[in-house]
Amino acid sequence: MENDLEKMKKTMPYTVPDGFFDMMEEHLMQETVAKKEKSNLRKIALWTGLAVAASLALLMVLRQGLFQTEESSFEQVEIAFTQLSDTDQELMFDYYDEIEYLDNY
Amino acid sequence: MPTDQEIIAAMKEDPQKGFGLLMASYMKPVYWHIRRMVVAHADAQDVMQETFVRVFRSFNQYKENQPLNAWIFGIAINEALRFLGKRKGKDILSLEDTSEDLFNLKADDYVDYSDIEAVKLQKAILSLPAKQQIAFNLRYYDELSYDDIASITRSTAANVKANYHNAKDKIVNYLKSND
Repeated sequence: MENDLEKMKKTMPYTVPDGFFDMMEEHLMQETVAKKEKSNLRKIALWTGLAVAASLALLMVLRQGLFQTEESSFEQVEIAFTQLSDTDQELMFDYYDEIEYLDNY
Repeated sequence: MPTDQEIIAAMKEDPQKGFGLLMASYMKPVYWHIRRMVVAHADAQDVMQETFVRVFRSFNQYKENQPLNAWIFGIAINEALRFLGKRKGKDILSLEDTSEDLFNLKADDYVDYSDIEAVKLQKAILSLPAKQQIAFNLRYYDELSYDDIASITRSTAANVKANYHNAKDKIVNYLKSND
């Protein structure tokens, strides 16, 4: 055995599976950049949902103040919800999902 | 290969492109450095993933007065020490500790046992305290300067040089006694 390290070849006994580095690069992109983009989209959805919810709440208060209806507050929410467009309803569900998601952290 | 300045600029302007450049430059050297510390391929893969996720998420904390390679290798070494520490029931492996008792090449599929000289050299390296292993590997395999290694290990160039030469002497003795 040649004990002079400078003369020894700097090889290692370690190997990796074929295509390992390409696979890792793709995987790490998904774990970082793609997740961040997804998280940004969720943030936008959250803030949009909050804006819709705030508008809805304001609408309810105004409606109650102006017309003094006999309906319960839950019925009022239901009615108001059905009057939203499909997109806005979806945003409300997304918002609800987001709250649930955040509650898990 | 992109320069560190190009990587840093790209990370700020377009993280997807920047991170692609960063991985193109650093994935292999970082993986091999981690692999020499943790030995098993699957473990090196896990530690490397933790390292690059951390690099991406904390890039806004990177200070440009520090060389990029020092920052990235610093994170990788920390993750490897944390991994090795956990295997010993600690939060992190001390730089004075060795990982020799954890060495188990037989358990890993991705080791060429026929390269007896290379296996013996790795065993010799793994018999060293972590701080000497790190100094030796970064100098011998990655051919970094003592200053760069000092920046990675938050030490002084003189200290690193001493660790490297101590490591080299111990390795030569190990190889002689195991001939």
